[in-house]
Amino acid sequence: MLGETSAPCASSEVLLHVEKISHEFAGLQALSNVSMRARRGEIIGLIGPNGSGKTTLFNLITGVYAARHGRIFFEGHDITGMPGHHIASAGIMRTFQNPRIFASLGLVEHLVIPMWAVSRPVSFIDLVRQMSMPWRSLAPAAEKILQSITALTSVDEIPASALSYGRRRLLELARCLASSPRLLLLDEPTAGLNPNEACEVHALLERLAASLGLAMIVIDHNVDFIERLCSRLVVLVNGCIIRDGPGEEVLRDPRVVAAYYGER
Amino acid sequence: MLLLVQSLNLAWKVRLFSLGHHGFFGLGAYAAAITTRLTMSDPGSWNLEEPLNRLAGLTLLAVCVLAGATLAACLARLLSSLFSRIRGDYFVVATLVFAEMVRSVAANWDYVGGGLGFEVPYLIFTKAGGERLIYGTFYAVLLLSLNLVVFVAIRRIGRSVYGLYIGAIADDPVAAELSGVDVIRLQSLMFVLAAAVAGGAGALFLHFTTLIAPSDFSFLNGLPIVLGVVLGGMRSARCVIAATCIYTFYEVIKLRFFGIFGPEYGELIADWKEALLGIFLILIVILPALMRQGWVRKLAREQKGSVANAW
Repeated sequence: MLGETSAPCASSEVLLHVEKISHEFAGLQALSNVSMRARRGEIIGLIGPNGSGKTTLFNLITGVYAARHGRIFFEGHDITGMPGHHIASAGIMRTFQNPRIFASLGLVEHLVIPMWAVSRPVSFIDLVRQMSMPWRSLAPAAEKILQSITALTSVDEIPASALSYGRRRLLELARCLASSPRLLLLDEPTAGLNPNEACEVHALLERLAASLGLAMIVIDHNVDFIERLCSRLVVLVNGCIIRDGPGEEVLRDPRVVAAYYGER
Repeated sequence: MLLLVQSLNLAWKVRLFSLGHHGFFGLGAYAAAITTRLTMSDPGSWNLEEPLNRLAGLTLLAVCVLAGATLAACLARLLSSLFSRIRGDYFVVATLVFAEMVRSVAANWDYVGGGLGFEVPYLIFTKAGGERLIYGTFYAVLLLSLNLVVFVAIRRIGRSVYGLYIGAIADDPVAAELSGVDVIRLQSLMFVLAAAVAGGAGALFLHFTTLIAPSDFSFLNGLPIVLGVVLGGMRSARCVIAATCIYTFYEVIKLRFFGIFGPEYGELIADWKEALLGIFLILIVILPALMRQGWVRKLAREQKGSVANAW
């Protein structure tokens, strides 16, 4: 019920293509010449020490920051420098390191927003048209997704601010899935979760990838989790990609070990 | 009552804390003044006592309101594209500057009376003699019904998907944008709608008082609009309306109440009106914080109690 499964696409297998992206903050080089590709249905782990530019890369892909150097292509279209809502509509959704939910809204409402926003641009005419249509009429589909992801229902009618930290993460994930995206960027999905919850998230993500053919890029520090989930790992250190390849190989690479644990 | 409409809409603005709403109000009033002057040849020949033909008057009133709303909306559209890169406090200052510009342009433009103000004839009824009551009732009914229309419209928006968008922007604009909501465009749309209502209200204001002056649209006269919104707690339409009514009531009875102690007290209060407004604002900001502290303490005590009971 989570939208259509990956539609057959005539274009190449490459879903996301990041080409020589650089970004700096007031003289600090956060990313330099980063290039990477993500194929349809692929789950990529993005790892690296704190401050290596992982989240910055997410912010550039999703349009939070405007990329000034380099280009980003999604499904063959150039999305460099587009505003965030365009990129979201194109099919890239993300979660945040600290869950960013709409505290005063209810649970289903979180899902109705992207469901509608990605397909209908904001305009005065649309506003007038929507005025005769309460959003509740759109709720059933959102409710199904909500339940399948978070096992929560709107029957409780609680505001999102009343959720626990782990549930907020799930709600955020459900919000991302409501618009049936093709690429999911997950920023530390297991941070702040206990091992049990991390296991649940792992199972959930695998289920989603299998059933929807969803591609994911996952940032996480939980190496065990990353290794089991991802078929490919990309290692960022000081804004440069130092390794890109299959999981076990990358983790055994002495350069990666050195970046994480220091030189022996 | 007019303020009500505007404050309602001010509350609407999604994270656009404009202090220049009275600018659009003034703009609407002056747009109406220009429209009136254009339709009725020479102001020298105006008979200020005699109302027009009723049908013509009503039409002119409607045209004026439309003109006021349109001009305010157009300017708001222009401003929102200019201001879209300004955030936070700077936006507040920019809107304030805009309102001040409207006022000073009006004050220096002789076509609309300059600093002396602009007087229009009564349109439909006169205030003179027996018609005074009808005059008051007509405008009261007109304003009430317009308020009702705006209220219902806002309610319907609030219940539609747009209400969710607006709530999302108020909670977290970045997350809203990345969920696919065109935040800047929605903000601009709300800004324009709010300005249009304020402009229409301004046009009505002109024909209700029949005399406007640039000083009517000064910052101090715009402050009660902001007050209504702040007092009403920013987002709930019903609370904002209640707050505005209470405030208007306070304004009305203030002078009479203090007049009881003798006319000199009434004058004293009139002189200190602005200072009182300031104190009022400060109290509004501080009181809830104090009350919340009290509440928290009380709540904490209760919870301790319940834990003890559970054991």
